[in-house]
Amino acid sequence: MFNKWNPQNLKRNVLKSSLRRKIQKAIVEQYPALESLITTLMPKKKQLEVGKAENHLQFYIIESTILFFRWRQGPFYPTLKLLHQIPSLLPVYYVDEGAVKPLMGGAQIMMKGLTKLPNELPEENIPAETVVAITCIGRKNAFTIGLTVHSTEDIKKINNGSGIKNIHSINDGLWKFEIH
Amino acid sequence: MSLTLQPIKYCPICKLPPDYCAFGPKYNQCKEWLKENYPQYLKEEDKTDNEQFLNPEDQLDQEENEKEKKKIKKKVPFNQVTISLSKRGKKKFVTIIEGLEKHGLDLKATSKFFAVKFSCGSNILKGSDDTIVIQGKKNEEVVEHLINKFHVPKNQIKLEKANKKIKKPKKQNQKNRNQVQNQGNTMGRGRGRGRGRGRGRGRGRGRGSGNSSGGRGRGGTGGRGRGRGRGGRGRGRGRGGRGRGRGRGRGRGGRGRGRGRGRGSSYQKY
Repeated sequence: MFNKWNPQNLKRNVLKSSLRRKIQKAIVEQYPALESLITTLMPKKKQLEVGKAENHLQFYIIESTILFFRWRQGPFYPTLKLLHQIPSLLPVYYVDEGAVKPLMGGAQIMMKGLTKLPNELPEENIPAETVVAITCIGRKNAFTIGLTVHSTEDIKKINNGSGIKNIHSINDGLWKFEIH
Repeated sequence: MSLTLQPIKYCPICKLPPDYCAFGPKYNQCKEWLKENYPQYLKEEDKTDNEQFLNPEDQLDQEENEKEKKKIKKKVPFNQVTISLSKRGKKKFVTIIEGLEKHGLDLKATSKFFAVKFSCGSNILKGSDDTIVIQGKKNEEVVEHLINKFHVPKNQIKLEKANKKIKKPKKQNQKNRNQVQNQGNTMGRGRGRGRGRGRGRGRGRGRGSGNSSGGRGRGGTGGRGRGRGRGGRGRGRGRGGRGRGRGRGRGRGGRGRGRGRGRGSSYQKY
């Protein structure tokens, strides 16, 4: 998604406290495990800023680091730099080593790549349209964030086509983006 | 379920997590830092014996594999065959093959074979015992024959690359296009790229099609329309060109008389 993304002017506004409370509530609704952490992530004394870019993309920024982003009113996606600090936030799928380079270039994740390693598929059924993290075998940290298109049961049955949509990965435009 | 923030160290050179340095763009420079801190994340080629394993069981398996590899290597000696090109005049080439005798091939027979196959001349060089010279540029075809007919193993054949530099005309064009705005103005008489403050006299292959499509799009009309466009055949007020072209103001003044501040409407490939 953010393969060749390099915006020149990112508009930023400070959020007022009523809106800020709404957003914090929505984040905690989507990720209930963050309840205790949200006050350390977004302390009261610092201002929460919203950055806007093309295609109705919004970022939530604290002290010039991006924490979450989303399109219109969709689900909240954490950035990878945040995910490396809270590794158990998202459910995980595992991938072969040969798939790392194409995914870093923005490719989608096919079902056949996931069913190659049948022992590593998650035990619980992850429903469609959830935010997921993807890691390589033998490593600890995630390297892409994706949105599932089918649930895990369907992936085992159908085994053809794309299974997870690639949204944000290492070394793309968003990873390299810095705010001054 | 309460979570905590865990700090993470990124590689100081490529700024990726150390698990993925091997897939990043600067792996060669990251190697030294990885050897000291995270030796298990190096690529397998670079791992030395000490760092490769944390389990003693794996070490035993690896030793057995190495012994097998050594055995296989002894059977096949390594004699390299090099194939290179050299010039014989302006346009003519000659292919040179060296190192065939050690593979047990009769030089005379092979050179005759090539002469018949490619219907050209082939000799053995007088000074040395080992080189065959074939007229023409046949380096890639020779490789196939060596592998199939004469059973030379593939990894012992070396094709040398030509020394010529190949020009890439497409990229040059792109550079010029970007510099278009900064260059000075000709009187628009330039062909194509002439920047023509032109009364649009540019020769530009103006796409002016002569059909008016009022305003937007192609704006042909012999340019009579308000044509936003290419101002086809002159006269046009043509504004701004091709949509992508940042035609500022007066478009491309295609051919002829256009009012164009024309960019002289070049024939630009997109």
